[in-house]
Amino acid sequence: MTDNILKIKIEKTLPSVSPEINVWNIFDSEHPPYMHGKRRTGEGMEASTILYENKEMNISLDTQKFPLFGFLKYRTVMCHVAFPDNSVTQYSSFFGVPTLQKYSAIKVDEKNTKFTIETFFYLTGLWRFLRRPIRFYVERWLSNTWEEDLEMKLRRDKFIKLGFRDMIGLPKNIDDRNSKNIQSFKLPLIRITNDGDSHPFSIRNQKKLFSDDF
Amino acid sequence: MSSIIIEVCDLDDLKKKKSITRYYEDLKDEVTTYLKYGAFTSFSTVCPHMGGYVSLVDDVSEIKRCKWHGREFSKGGEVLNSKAKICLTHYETYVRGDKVFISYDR
Repeated sequence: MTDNILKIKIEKTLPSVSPEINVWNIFDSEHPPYMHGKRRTGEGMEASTILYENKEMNISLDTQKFPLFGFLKYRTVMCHVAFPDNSVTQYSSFFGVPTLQKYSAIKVDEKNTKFTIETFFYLTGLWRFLRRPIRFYVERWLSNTWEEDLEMKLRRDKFIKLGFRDMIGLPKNIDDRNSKNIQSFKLPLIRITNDGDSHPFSIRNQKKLFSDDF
Repeated sequence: MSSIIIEVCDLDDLKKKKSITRYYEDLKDEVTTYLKYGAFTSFSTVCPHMGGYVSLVDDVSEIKRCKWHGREFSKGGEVLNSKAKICLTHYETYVRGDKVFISYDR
């Protein structure tokens, strides 16, 4: 069975960033079109529509763009599960190939936090002959995504440590801008766009689908 | 209530560069100061939504936009493309002699 599995792993270390940033970054479904959607080579993420979410997971419908032919798009359902150790597991598919990703973040010491991304592809049939191009493509994708997310992680961490609160901002009083009032991290994150709510498969709209009148 | 006063830059410097963005340790905030139609404006670049980087995107209307999630703010700091009640912090800006200052009530 292991012959069918392609594993790609990347590790990065950042100076003293809270591991919670890892979970926040992945569960922030509103940033992909702005931060990962404008790559020179055409590929990227266009939209992430949340269909269901609770305190530890979400299910989304994601639209991604092909490399070189950015006008060609494909959709995939993604499921993210957050764990108490600030890791996130992502279940998805890549043109029908089942994929599993694990994003981990641990404090290695007082000054460093190590981020690890492990990606697994379950390759069967002719897909097994495409290991090399898949590895090339995914390594580049992960590297680009990491770079684009990096400024978000560092900036968010900096201002959270100054008492920043979502939907409020920095404390009005400068004396309160310190690390004594760090907001507690909770899922689901507050969203200010309602794209997911308008999708017919969104949990909010399912009642209509399952009613006898439909 | 006491005010904190911070020197931003030389007036000539701001005229040359059009805008200056800097993190001020005394303010514990990152602020962009710009000069438009003879008026000075300073706003926090920290988006009240999630802390993203807000910058000036329209010279005429002075609309600001967050790089992370696309939230837009009016000249006065009111959010334009969301029903969320969030507002971008602005700082009082003035010139004394040949220096630009911002002030804020602690």
